[in-house]
Amino acid sequence: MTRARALLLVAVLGVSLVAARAAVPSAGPRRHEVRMRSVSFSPAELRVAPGDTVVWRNTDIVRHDAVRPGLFDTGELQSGDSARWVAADTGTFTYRCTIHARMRGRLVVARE
Amino acid sequence: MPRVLRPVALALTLTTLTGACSLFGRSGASTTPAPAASAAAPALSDANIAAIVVAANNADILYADLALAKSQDAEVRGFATMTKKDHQSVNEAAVALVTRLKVTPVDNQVSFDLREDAETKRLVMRDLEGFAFDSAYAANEVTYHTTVLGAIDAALIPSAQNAELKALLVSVRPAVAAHLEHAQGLAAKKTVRGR
Repeated sequence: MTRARALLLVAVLGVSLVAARAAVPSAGPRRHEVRMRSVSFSPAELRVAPGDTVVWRNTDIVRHDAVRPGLFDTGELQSGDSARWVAADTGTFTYRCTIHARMRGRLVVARE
Repeated sequence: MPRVLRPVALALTLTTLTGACSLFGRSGASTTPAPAASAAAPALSDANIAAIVVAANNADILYADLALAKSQDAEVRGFATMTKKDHQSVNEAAVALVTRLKVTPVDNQVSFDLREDAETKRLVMRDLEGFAFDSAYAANEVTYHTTVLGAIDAALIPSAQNAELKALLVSVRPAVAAHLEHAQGLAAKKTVRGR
């Protein structure tokens, strides 16, 4: 095989692999975790896709909640408790802990 | 000791403790012998720390209950509701931990002073009404959380021997710091000048 043919083969294989990868459907809905710790949400901002699940887990010593009126309300979570919500509509949503005014988070729901 | 002097006494006790801990070099930073006066300061056992934690939380719960009974101000009531919930959570966690560790809280000068100081202040604030109460409550919350935060950093965390007790104190710190920040904002709004 000449050098030119070998290069052509590599190029064709590369294009095929890229095409095949693009054709593979996404892995489906994902699960994301937001920890409540040190009186803050971590991560403070999270990007998810419609259909993904967001889990808020309280690893702090005090109670917290995560509330976006009209969208979700975890209720008060004691240390060790968690609550989940499945994202539907796209958009950017800020939310907060109603117990601790300084605790604020942001969810970006966007198609990948 | 006259009642009016108790708050000062509490501050002095905590200051002495924090000073003693730093002078004793518990962080390992200093090997300089402590002066004789500081060497006489009481050392804190885990059982002492447990009693202080519960007394400190109960003190602010007492203040919060008073605020919820007396204040009509939404911000004051919101702050009191938050601090009460948080201190109850910390107490529950602390009691669960010391029960599991089989540590019986042992009262000491600091825990005694915390209780007596809280009762003294409750009696003073009980007689105040309206804005005067809100202002006194907010100012007291700043003082209380400043003192407790200082004690956590300089005395309680450095003195704790059990790793889980130390971890509990470390996990409490952000909430106390958040309370202090919130209390400072509240006090700024509730001072007579700011009215």
